[in-house]
Amino acid sequence: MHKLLQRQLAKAKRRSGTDQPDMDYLLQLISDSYEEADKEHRLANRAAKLMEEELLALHSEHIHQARQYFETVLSRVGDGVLFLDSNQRIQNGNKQAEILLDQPLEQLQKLSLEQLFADPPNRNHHQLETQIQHNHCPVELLLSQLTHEGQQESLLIIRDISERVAAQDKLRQSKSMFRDFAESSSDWFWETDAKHRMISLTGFTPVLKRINREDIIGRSRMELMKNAPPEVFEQHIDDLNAHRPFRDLEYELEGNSGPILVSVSGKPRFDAEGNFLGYRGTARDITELRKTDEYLAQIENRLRTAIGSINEGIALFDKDDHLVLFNDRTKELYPQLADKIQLGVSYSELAHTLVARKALQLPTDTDTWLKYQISKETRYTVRINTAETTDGRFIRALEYPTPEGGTVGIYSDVTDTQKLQEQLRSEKERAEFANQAKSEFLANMSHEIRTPMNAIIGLSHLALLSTELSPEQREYLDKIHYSSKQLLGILNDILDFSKIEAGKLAIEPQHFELSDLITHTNTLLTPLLDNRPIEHQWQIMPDTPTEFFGDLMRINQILSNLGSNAAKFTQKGQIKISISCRPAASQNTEAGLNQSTPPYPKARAIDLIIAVQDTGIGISDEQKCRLFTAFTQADASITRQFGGTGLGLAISKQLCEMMQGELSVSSEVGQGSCFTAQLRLWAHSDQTYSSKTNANTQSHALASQRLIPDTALKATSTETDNRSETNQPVILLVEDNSINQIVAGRFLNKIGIRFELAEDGEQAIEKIKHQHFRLVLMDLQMPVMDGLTATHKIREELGLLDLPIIAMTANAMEGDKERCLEAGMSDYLSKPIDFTNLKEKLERWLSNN
Amino acid sequence: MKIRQQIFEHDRWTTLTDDGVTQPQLVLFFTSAEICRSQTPFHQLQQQFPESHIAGLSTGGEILADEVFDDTIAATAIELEKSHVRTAQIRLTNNLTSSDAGRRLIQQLPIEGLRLVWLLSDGLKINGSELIRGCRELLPGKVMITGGLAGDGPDFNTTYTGCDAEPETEQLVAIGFYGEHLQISSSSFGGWDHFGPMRTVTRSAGNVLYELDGQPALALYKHYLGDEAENLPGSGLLFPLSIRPSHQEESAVVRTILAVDETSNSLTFAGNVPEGYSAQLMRGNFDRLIEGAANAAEHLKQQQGRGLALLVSCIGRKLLMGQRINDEVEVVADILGPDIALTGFYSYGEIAPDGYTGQCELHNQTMTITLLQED
Repeated sequence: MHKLLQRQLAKAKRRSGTDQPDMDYLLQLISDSYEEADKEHRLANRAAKLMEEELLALHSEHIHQARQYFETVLSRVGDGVLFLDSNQRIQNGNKQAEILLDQPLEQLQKLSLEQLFADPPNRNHHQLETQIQHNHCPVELLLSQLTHEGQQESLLIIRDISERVAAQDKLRQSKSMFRDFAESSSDWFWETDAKHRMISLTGFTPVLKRINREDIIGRSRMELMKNAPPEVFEQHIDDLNAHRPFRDLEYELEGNSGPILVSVSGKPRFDAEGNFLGYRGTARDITELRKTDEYLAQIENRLRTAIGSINEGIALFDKDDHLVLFNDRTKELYPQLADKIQLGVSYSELAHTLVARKALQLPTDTDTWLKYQISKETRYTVRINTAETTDGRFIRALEYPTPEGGTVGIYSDVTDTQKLQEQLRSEKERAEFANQAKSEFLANMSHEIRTPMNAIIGLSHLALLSTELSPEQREYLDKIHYSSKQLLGILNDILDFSKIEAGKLAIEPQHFELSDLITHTNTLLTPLLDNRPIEHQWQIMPDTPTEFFGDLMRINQILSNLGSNAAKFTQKGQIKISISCRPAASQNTEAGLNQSTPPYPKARAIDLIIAVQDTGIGISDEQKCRLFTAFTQADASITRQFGGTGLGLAISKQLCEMMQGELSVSSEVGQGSCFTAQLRLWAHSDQTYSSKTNANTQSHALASQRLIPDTALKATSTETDNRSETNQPVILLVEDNSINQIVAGRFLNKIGIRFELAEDGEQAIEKIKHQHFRLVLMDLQMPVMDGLTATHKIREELGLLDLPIIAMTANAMEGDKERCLEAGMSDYLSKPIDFTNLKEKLERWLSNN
Repeated sequence: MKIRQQIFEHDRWTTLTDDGVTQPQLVLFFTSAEICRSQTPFHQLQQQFPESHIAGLSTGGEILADEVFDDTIAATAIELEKSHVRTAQIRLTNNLTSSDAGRRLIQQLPIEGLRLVWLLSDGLKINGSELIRGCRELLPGKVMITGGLAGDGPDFNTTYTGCDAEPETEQLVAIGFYGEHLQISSSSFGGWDHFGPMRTVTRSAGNVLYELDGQPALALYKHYLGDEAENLPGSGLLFPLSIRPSHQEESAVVRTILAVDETSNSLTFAGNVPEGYSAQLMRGNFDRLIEGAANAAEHLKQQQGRGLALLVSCIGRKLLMGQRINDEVEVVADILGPDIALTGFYSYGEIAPDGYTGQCELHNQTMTITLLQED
């Protein structure tokens, strides 16, 4: 029975006071004990539960706190820390680990240790030094095992040891540097005892093992030096006995294969009491060094020999501009500086000496030259590198910078070359002079030819006017006349071209009317058309001015050339000459004209455009290229077929360009050509051709179609005849040449102008004093008194300022006209006299009066 | 030493043992508060032992021989052959502190030959710690102080003490044992287990505890007691508090709740609960508590021959173990053997020297034994 029940039973018995327990009391006691047990149980459970809860809370609080401590510590430690699971995968880590491995934790969690470290740690290899794969940062790794809730985990500590490694590297380097130094320099340390016996060698590693340690250890200095020269040996023994330090003692040791040259330095050593213990010092195998020195000396020698033997002077200046190398040739080239050219002399000093001793004829003033030469900024940019010496040589100096910052100069005597160049230059000048002379000669020649040509043309012309000719005679004269005129055209072309080439052709502007141009062209063109079925048309655009200021003669020449070409190459169809005008392109308005200011207040610059269009044989593209070149025609065969010098277009083009214009062509083979000349002129008035002479133009155009020279002449002479009958004599002809007297006189007669003849300037003046003339035709070159002098006298002495005096000269060269005008002449005609031209001038000057 | 033990139970006296006591110097009785109020225990005993000092108090349970009783008068008459006793008593008043009361009590006892002062203290109106302090101030160190605080079962309402008169409330009684032939030893063991976290006394005043770890102490107790909370303060004894200065584990003492104050959320303990002390809840396990009692018995210096063991055990132990409380008395009886008579009571506070320091302290929740023998 349970002890408690026994007690309860006893209590119940005591209660009843008998052997029979008080049952009610007993049951009460038993019930109470159950209650008590339940209560105890309840309380215990509750307490246990609460305690567990409380402890859990406390525990988690502790864990939290511990975790915070832990994380704080983790984040503060300088090492990276990674937590790995049992498969070595990264679970967690601190900030430092992220920094060291240069990746965020999420990224690290995806990587294996093998990807992170060059040499990953493992259980057996848990402490090691390795590198981080991607940046090669040296690290120390420490892997330690952690057991967490039965799981085998590990902790990896990563320590950045780059500084340590760097320090170790440095130490290793310095150690190895020392070793390298000791080995490569072949220096070694030695010690001798008091009796000068070698007792220790440190760092003894002779490069080529030419001598063994055993051959040195234990032997005395005297033994080792047995091959030294006696004086060296004795001096050294003295030093040793006196315990004096010594330096760079050189002697030869007996090596395995021949002598070894060593250089030895040493200091005596003593103990604390001052007793001599021996020597200690360094030694070095200088065999190779000596050989190298010799080799270098040899190379330098060779170099010097080579430099010395070349023909150029060579001088090398170091970066401080001091002369460090030169050859004898340099001195020869600059004998005035020979004493100065020495090693160590400065560039500046040499330059100054050069100037002071006037060794060179400098291209500029001395200060500029010195400044330019001495400064390295400008020295290498000198362009004129050849200078003449005062003794008549030419020296070319080429100076270049060297990589070391110095200067190398190469000097050569170029006298021969220079002289050759001089010679070439003078040859050229002479050739050019000759060419000019040729042009002048040609011009003169043509003048000489002109005079007889004048006679032939004039006389044949006069002969043709005669009515008493047989048909046969007329035919001969016709041919003579035609041929001579052709010859004159060729002469004129050659003359013009020569002038242009010699630069002596000038543009001579004058006042003219558009009708002058048309008349002249018609006069020339009509006879060329013969009886070919060619329609000749003028097309004058409205608004074309009627009066101009320009070189009419040259414009006539251009138009005549283009017109005669058209006539020449066209068998049938049409030749149309269009004239139009537009304001000059503004930018060149003034500059384009020979006169920068208008010759008349109201004059305006215009471009006169003359187009000559034909329906002839045309010109191929290939031919166009050569078209404007002198002595060339579109087809080499053309000359033979059509005649001509081939100079016409070249001259025309040159003339156009001289008048700030151009000559262009468009053409199609077989269809015809169109030559367009554009010329810059001053338009004289606001009157336009159509507005002034509309009717005239029409009649002009009509008339010109069938106009022939003799009808023109007849028509004009008829007019003049009427006038000459009333006013006689009109003209004084001053001419010494009898043929010219006849030609001019007959022509004047033919056109009905009465004249008086004077054979020289003096006669002319006499006649003018006594008789009134309306005009004087004056030859220039005459005996007794030339035309210029005579004119001068007429103007100055006779005071006849208004009397027109027209010069007639065979001097077709530039300057004649100026001289004539300067002398006071009114106008100018060149011989041979072109009658059309003469007639025009007479009409103009006589009508002006 | 001769001893007679008798019990008044179910309205009748039963003598359990008697050595042939004729002239006992001292008769000790332990009874319930209710009996103190409704019956006349002193009167009954005085008729039987007119020449003797008769002292007793109200309890939470009476121990006599090897049994525990409730609502009885357990009386033991002691006839000392070579020794004598003196008694003292003092009434507690409002202007008398616990320590003052202790001093005044001791002053009444001659020191000469004094060996042991056995204190019978009011159980509720006293700060046991202060009482002991006051007593010790006047007593030589070699004089042992033991005893206990009177009880009122689980009710904590009124306790009674008395000497040579009917027991009264708010009174202190001291019995001085004199004589060189007296062999006295005492021992005190708890056997409670610490549990839960260590806490810190963050607010207290004397024996009133307000806060542990910044939380109201009463709330903590209520939380642990659950349904038992309504039985406070008695049920508070189920979870005594172990306190000690921080970092001094060996000088821990156990405190029992005497009262609760709902308005100030405080607990009043039988002894001081100083601020800054570490505190830990304790709980009892039947076997461990019985083991504690056995420990106390084994630590006594027992001699051959007749002797009396005065057992003062804590009401908390009895409240927890219920009827099983008898086991702890039985184990003591078994250890001490048939020569030693046992009596005592379940107290609101045990007074005994501390096991480590040797100084007298107020204990709670312990089994405290004082063994008296004459050689």
